[in-house]
Amino acid sequence: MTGILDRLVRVRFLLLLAPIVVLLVASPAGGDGLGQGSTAIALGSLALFCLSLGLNLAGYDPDAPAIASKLSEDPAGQALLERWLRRSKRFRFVGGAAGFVISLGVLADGNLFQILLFVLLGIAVGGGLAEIHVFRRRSGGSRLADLAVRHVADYTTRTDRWALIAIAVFAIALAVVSLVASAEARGFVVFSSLAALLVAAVAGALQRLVVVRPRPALPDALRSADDLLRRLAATRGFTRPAIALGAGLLAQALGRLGTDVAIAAAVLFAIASLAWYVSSRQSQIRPAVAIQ
Amino acid sequence: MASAVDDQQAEDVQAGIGHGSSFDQASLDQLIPAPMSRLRTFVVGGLILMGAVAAAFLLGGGYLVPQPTRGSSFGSDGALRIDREGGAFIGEVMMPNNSARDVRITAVDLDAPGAELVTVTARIENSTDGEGRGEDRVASLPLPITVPAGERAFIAVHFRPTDCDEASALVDAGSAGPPWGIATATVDFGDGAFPPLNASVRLDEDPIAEVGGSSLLTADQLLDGDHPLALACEVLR
Repeated sequence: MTGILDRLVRVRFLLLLAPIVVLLVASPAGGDGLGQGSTAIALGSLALFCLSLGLNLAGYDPDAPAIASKLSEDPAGQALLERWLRRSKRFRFVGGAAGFVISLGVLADGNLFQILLFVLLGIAVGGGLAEIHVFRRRSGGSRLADLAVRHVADYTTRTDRWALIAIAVFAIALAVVSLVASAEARGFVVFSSLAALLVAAVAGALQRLVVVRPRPALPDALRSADDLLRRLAATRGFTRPAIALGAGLLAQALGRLGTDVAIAAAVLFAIASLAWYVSSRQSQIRPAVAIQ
Repeated sequence: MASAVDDQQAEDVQAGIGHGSSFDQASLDQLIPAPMSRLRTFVVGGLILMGAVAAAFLLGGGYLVPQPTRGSSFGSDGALRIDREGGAFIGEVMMPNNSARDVRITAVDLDAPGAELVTVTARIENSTDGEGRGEDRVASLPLPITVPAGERAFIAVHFRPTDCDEASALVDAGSAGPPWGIATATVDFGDGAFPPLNASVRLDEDPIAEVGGSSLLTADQLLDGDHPLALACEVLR
């Protein structure tokens, strides 16, 4: 039973596939209502959808212990990393699901790429909110603090940092170029470009928040795990979804310009968006590349 | 059952059981908040998702921001008419209100090279009126005008040619020319309505001229022309 549930949580495309199956089976094209077989398929798909959604909402994550044990040999470090893996994954899932649902209300024409942008926005926001616990109330009493100076560059990858800079620069350039574009496209391009710039700026600020947030004096093993946690948070947690979102927004803006060069660039940005999203997934975490 | 197993597993890890040692739970809590119970996690996630569903419903239904033409394809076809008193020509543009809330048209702008907008009036056509008035022409009224949810407004834009050379260029462009006479309506929910937001709705699905070609209805005849602006210039000549 547990194995089935584990598989159900891992195969998330069921969440998209199941409603489609229900709609196809339950559509009135067949004429005289649903047959027994169709009803069973529809109900089965609906049950799978509800079960998968419920497990994900409840934070059921069968992979977290295995990933944590590969990342740290220390029990406390494993427990810490497992907490973060569960928390970040749940926040990202809820954010992505909320983004998808809202996109269905906001977007009238069912533009698949824009739906994906909403999902990416939800994932990035969810991943970011998972790290906003620095402001929570702490228990009183005296504590020992770790006064080691931490730098953002030590916790993020060069590729991610350059990607954020590139998105910001392209966004500004595109907003300027759009001033000579047609009046109809100008508003959309400027909006998308400034949104990408905002995404890059917020991601950069959040990276800093995660890296410099206070840390008590800890045993070496736990401090190493906390360092790894911060690296994971400042890269896969929200930065890479934000980079994917920023690249997607720029792809959308370039596509609207309509010239051959712009469309070619839009395709490149769309591919970059997909690549950064894939690299942000927790299933991609390997011990040797945990800090990449 | 799986949830219980998973809960137990999570508790074991937090307590250090199964890892060969115990550790200070408080240290972990300082680094990252202690996880909520599975039930509470589910409820919080479910509430957020329900909030998203509510937001999608309100946004999609046009309850929060006026978006009367959202998700619709529309267009109308009609001859130009002459407004002799105002010395202008009248083209009609349709704006359906497919949202779930009444919207009010407060202003209309017209993108029509070679012509200037003189005035705007509008009428509501209730195509589902059970008394058969749906096809009747109702007198156009000055703005603002409220368009009930599910009904359509016909906006009469009164324009006057200002550049008949532009008309020649438009005729030469023929079917390759851009749509002409695109109205942009400013809409809101009415006085005192909440939220007090307005929106611009570009009615580019129903320009006065789609690909050139037009007709003008006068008191006694129907004139055909290559473009509404050219037709207006010809009548004025």
